[in-house]
Amino acid sequence: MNTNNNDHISDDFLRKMIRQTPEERPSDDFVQKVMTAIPVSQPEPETVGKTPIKWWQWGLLAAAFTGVGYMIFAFDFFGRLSGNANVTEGVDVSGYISMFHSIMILVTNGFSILGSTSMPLVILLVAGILYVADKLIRRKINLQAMVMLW
Amino acid sequence: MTYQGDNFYIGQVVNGNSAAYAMLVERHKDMVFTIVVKIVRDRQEAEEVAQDVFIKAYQALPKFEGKSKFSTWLYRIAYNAAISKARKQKAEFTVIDESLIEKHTTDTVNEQMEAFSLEEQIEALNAVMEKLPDDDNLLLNLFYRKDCPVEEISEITGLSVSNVKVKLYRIRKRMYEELKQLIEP
Repeated sequence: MNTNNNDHISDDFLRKMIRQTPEERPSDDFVQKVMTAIPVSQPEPETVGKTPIKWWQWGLLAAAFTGVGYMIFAFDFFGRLSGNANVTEGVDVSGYISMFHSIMILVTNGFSILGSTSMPLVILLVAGILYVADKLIRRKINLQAMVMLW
Repeated sequence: MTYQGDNFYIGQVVNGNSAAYAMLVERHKDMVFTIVVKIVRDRQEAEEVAQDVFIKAYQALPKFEGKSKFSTWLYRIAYNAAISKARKQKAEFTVIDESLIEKHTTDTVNEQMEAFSLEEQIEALNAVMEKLPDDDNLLLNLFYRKDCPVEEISEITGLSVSNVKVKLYRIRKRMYEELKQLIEP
């Protein structure tokens, strides 16, 4: 039997016969019954934009970022990195190093200011920044999904 | 009022106009009910299941991604709900013994059937369709009555396209075999 076409299942006689039998239909007030049930069961809220990260995971992430930042600040990571900039051969990485350098200075200065405050406060601050960033990214993804849907 | 397409009403519902859902229910109620009743068999229970299908679809509407047609998505929900209900009922259906099926020309049956009145033809066909397992009965209706393409039936039932075709072929053979037994003296 060849299943590449529908020849073996096309059957006008059967089609005609089946169409002669009465079609199944729901009761006349079917739509009304469904619509009566609708107001008590509102559509589920949009879940695409809801972050799957729990509050304690935000804390862990913030602690990790704070730790990395503190390491950069405490061990003068930027200074050590600049010292090894010539190790890479054949690739012009000076632009990237320069950009990274600027970011490191910002981070270092940031931690210099926050250094006088308590570590839990820094963790809270970083958690807040991460949360806002996550929200912004998800909102953007959500908008793109809506545009694709329509 | 002119029907403006499923996507229009889906947009209305998602944006808070729940009354627009009535148009979608009106449009698809017969097909959803057909799918459910062919599997569940009991009309009253089928109606309850069909209502649940529309409520479930309404709640899940914001998650509808538009990857397939709304109708296909809805019929798939109906099919799964009906199968689930039928399993709960643990109903036993008559299964036709495939070993009884012999190769017959369909022309003989066609000619003999045409000698009967319309009422007798319908009665014979109903008797044969009643004997078919629920899935087979549904496939027959989707393909021969509703002109559903094989690809869409495949999406609704979760069977592969080839599997749908093979099943339809076997069902067709069974139908003729049963009809032949019924009409032959």
